[in-house]
Amino acid sequence: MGFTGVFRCRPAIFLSLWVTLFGAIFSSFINAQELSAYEVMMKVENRYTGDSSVGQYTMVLIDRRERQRVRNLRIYKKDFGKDNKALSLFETPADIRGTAYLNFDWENQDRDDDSWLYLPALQRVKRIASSDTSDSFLGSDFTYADINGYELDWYNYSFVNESESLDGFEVWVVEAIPKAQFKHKAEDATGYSKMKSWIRKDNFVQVRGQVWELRGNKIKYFNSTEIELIDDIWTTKRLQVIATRNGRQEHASVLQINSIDYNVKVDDSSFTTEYMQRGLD
Amino acid sequence: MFKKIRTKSLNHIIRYCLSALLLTPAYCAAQDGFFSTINIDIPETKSSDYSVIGWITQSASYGLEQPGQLFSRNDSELNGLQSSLFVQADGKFSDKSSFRVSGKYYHDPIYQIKNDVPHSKEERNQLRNRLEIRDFYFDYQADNGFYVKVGNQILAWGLSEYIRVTDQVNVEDQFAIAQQDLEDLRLPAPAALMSYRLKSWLIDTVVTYDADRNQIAPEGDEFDQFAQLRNVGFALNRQETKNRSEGFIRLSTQLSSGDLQIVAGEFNDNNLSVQDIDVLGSAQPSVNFNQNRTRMIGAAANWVEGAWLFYGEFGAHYGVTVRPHVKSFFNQLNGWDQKDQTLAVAGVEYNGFSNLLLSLEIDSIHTQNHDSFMQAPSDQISLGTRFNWTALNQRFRVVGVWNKLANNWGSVSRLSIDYNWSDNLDLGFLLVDYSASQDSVFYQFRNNDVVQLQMRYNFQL
Repeated sequence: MGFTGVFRCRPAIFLSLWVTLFGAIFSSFINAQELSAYEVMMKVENRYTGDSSVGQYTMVLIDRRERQRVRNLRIYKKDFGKDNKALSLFETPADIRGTAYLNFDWENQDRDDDSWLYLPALQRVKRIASSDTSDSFLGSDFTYADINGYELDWYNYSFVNESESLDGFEVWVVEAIPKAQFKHKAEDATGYSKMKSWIRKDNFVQVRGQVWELRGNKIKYFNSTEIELIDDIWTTKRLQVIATRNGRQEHASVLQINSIDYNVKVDDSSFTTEYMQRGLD
Repeated sequence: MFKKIRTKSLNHIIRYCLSALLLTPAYCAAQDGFFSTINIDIPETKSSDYSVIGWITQSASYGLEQPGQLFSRNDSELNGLQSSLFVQADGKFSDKSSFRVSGKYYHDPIYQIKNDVPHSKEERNQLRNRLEIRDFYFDYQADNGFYVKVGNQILAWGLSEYIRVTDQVNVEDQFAIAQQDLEDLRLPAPAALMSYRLKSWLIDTVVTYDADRNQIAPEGDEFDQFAQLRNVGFALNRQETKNRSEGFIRLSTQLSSGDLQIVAGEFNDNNLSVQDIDVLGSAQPSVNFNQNRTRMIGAAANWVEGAWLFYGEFGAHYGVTVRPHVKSFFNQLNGWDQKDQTLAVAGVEYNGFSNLLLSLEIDSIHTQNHDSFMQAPSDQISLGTRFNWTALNQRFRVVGVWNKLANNWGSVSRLSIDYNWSDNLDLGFLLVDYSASQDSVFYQFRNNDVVQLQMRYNFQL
C-alpha cells in the first residue's frame, strides 16, 4: 500500500509500522539534510518497532452515505530474526467474530509471504495466494499489501519536496515509482502505480501518504495522527485512509489503537494455523 | 495548415493554463480535505473472557417448479417461511481452558399455512421445526504442547469443495441440498480431539462416538431421499451401527508456499446404504439401511504461485458400498456390494482480478473391480466452478457455483447475492437450479428449483 508500504517497505507488519514508529531522532535530524530519498525510506524501514507486540484495535469503515461499520480486532506480532509474523483476530461484529489472518513476512526477497485466512463460518483455514495482496483487507480501504508491506528495492525514490512544514513539523515528501524491472511485480502486489509519502524529519514517522491506484482513477489519502511515544517507540494511534475516485470521496477507514503492549512475551505457537482456530476460544 | 494547428494548440494551451490557474487551488484544497481528520466517535471496547453472539434469520422461499406427487408440494408456490435463531456463547475457565456452546432453532410455519398437505401436526413439526445443538465443547492447552478438545465440534479437513476425500469427520445437513448457508453445511460430531505439535508437524488424533449420519429431509419433504421407495410401499428401517466409534489421525505441516496434510481413518459412512431387502418375511416389504464401515487413507496439498492457488487431494477408500442400478433390483436383496475406490481432486483458484476469485475443480472416483449392475460407471468425473466477486468494500458479494455431476447426471447451479446493510443487518438473495437426467440419483429433485430472499439480524452481547 502506498502509505504504509512506502512507510515500511520490507519487513515488519504494516500496523507495526504505523503503530511503532521509532525515531532515529536527534542524530538523524542532524544528518537529515544529507540523506537521499532512498536513505530516508531506509531509515523508515529500519526503525525499531519492538520485537513483539500485542494490540487492541478498532477499525471503522465509512461509506459514501457515512454509514459506519465497526470492527474490533486484536493483533499479535513477533520478529523471528529478520522474519516477521503477525496474527490478526477479529472480535466484533458478530458475523465475522473469530475471523483470523496469519501472515509470515520473510526477509528473503525471493520468497513470497505465506498467508492464511480462517473463516469461522466454515471453521476452516484457507491459504491465500500471495498476489492477492492488492485486495481489500476484510472490507477496509487497507489492502493486504498495506498490512504486510512491500519490497523497498522495487522502487525508485525521489524528493518531491526536501523540506516542508506540516502541523509544525519539518517533513520530507518522497515519491516512489516502481523500477522498470519490478513494475509488474510491484503493481500486482500493491495495485498502485505511484506512492507519495510525508516523513517527519525528527523521528522518521510517516504522517501522510497518497497512492494512485492502477485502475479507475482512484487515489487514496492516508493520514496518521495521535503520534505518541509508547515504551520509547513512536506509535501512531490513529490512522485513516480516504479512498477517492475522480476527486470524490468513495469510502474511508479509520484504524484506532485502543491499547498496545510492546516487547511482551508472545508464544511462538500463537503464529500457527491451529492457533487461528483457537484464538478467540 | 501548420499555422492553424499552432493557433489551435496555442488556444488550447491558454485555455488549459487558465483552467489550471482557476482550478489548481480548488484541487489542492480538495486534496488537503482528504487529509483532514474524519470526526467520528470510536467506541472503546475491552476484551472479555465471555461473549455471546448470534443471529436471527428470516427467509422466504418460492419453489419455481412442480416437484411432483411424491412430495409435499405439487405446485410452483411459496415453499418456505423459515425463521431461525442461532446463539453462540464462548468463555474461558482459565488462560489455558475455554468452552463454547451454540445451538440453532429452525421454525417454518409453511405447512400450517398451507391447507392442502396430508401431514399430521406432528409430522409437520418434524418437517420444518428442529433444534440443533451445534458446537458444545471445552478445550485445554497444556504447557507441554498437548491440546485437547472434547465435545460436539467441527473438524473441517481436506481441501475439496465438492467431494469428501479426507474430510470425513463431520456429517452434512442435507435437509435442502445446496440451499444451506455456509455455516450450516457441516454438523458437529461428538468427538475428542488431541493435538500435539512435533517440530513443524501437527499431529491430530480424533475419536468420535455416535457421530450419526448425514441429516436428510424427513418423509414427504421436498428433498426426501426415499420418496420413491415409500411410494411403492416399502417400509424403511435403519439398523443400528455395530461400531459407534470412529477414529482418525492427521499429520499436517506448512511448507514454503504450500501446505500438506496426510489423513487416515476408520469410520461409518455418512450416507446410508442398503443392508438387505425383505420382501417375503412380512406383509409389507421392507428395506434395511445401515452405515457401512469404511477405511480411508489420503493426502491433501496446496501451493501458491503468483495469483494462482493450486490444490490437490487423493485418497483410497476401502469397502465402500456402491449402489446397484435401479433396474438391478435382485442385486440389492442382500445389500449393496462393497468396493474399493480411489478418489482424486485437482483444483485451481485465480485471484488476478481485483476483488474477484475464480476457481475450478475436477474430481474423479475410480471404483475397482467394477460390476455391470452398478449404477455408476467405474470412472466418474465431475466438475465444479465458482466465482466470488465483492464490491463496495465487501458490502456487496456475489457468488456463483456450477457443479456438473458425474456421468452426465446433471448439474446444480447456485447464485447468491448478499448485501451487508450494516453490522447488524444482512440482506440476501439465493437462486438454486437443479438439473438431472433420468439415470441420476438426483432425478427426483430436478424440479426443486428455488428462489429465496433472506434477512439476517446479527447481535453480540
